[in-house]
Amino acid sequence: MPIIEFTGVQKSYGDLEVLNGIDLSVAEGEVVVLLGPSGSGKSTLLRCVNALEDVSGGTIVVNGRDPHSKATNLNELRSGVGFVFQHFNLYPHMTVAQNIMLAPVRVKKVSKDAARRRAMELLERVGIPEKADSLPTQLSGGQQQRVAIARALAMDPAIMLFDEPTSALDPEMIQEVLEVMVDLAGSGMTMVVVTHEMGFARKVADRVVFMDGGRVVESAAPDEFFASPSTERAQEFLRRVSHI
Amino acid sequence: MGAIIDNLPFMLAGLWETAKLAALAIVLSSVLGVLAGAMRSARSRFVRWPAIGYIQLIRSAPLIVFILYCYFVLADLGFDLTPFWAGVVALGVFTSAYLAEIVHAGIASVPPGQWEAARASGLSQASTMRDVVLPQALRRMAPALVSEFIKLIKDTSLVSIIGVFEFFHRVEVTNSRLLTEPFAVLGFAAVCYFLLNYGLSRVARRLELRLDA
Repeated sequence: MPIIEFTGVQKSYGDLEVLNGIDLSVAEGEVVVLLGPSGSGKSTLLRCVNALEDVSGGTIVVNGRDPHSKATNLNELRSGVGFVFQHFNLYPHMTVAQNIMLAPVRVKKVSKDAARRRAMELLERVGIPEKADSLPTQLSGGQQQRVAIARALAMDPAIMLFDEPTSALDPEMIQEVLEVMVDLAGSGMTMVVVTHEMGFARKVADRVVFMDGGRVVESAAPDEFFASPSTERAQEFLRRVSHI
Repeated sequence: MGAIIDNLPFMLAGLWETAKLAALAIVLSSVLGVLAGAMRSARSRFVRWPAIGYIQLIRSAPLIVFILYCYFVLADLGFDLTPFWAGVVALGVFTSAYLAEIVHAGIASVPPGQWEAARASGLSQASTMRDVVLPQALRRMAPALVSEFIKLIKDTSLVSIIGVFEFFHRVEVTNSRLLTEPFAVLGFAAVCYFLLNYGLSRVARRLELRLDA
């Protein structure tokens, strides 16, 4: 049974159709990379998983529950789904440790001491334990994104969603964030990643899903997809992103 | 000058009354203002509309009318407040409407990504507001809030109309009694208000610096 399942998911803003009937399922422990040109609906699809966006039609089942149903306890569903944003969205008025501790303390009612210990473990894992008491503004972009990943992991989510996690970073900081994500994928985490990092997709993904115009155009293992994409649209995309 | 010194204890007793009145009204206006401002920013119109009504209604009345209203009309409705407490309620409620608009603007100035990050981690709407959005909003609003509090301190002079024996009331009594020293007596009053307000801005400035650190 898949941990995330999209069935005929549609999303439109007025006349603009952003998602045009998406059928897709993600198995537990699977790493799925969503590729596609800007405006193809990748980020929107990701944001529908934890109801940061409403859907206009179709259904999504996450961990056995529908995030868009009134009957679902959305806060509880969301606490099991980590989300990493392009622009990190750390809380600027809190220290790094406080950023990581907030949701466990408020939502899971973990004691402050236990939350702090867990925050330190996670900071160790993402390689910046010495920054625990710094403010986000004192960190580089790469460090901020690693804190954001630690913050998401603090809720012990079953699924991690990444929305272009390296797109706002200087090139020399991309590597440090990708390394954390590779480590996470190796630990068996279910991950759905929207990215333009082809190297990451090739090396880490179990499956590449190529989207265009709000549809899933192609879904294949990375070796297969990069070696011989079966659709013309995917071939053209790969030619364009390969730079020369 | 001698006239001021002779009447100093009489007038300064009122200054203490004014400080108490202002402090209580500031607390009341802050609680109501943050509440109404947060409600004004809510997505649900059933929460938002009452807040908008409250703000519009209160802002449309002149303060002096509002003060008289709180004293006489509330008494008719069965809330028999002393002049002092009627003054606290009038000033507190009146100022809260202005604070609410500032709080609303402050909340709107917090980037949507902050809401999304908090909600995505499973935080409730209320916790997101309290832990993530309001602390950032209040920091941006601090200078505007201090301005409103300074206005409130000056406006305490108006509650002399319902017989609160605060500072300005005593200044007026002193002035009428002496008749010959308006420059000295009113000048003294102006200096006292200046010191009160300057003190408030200094305290506020220090708080702001602490928040920024």
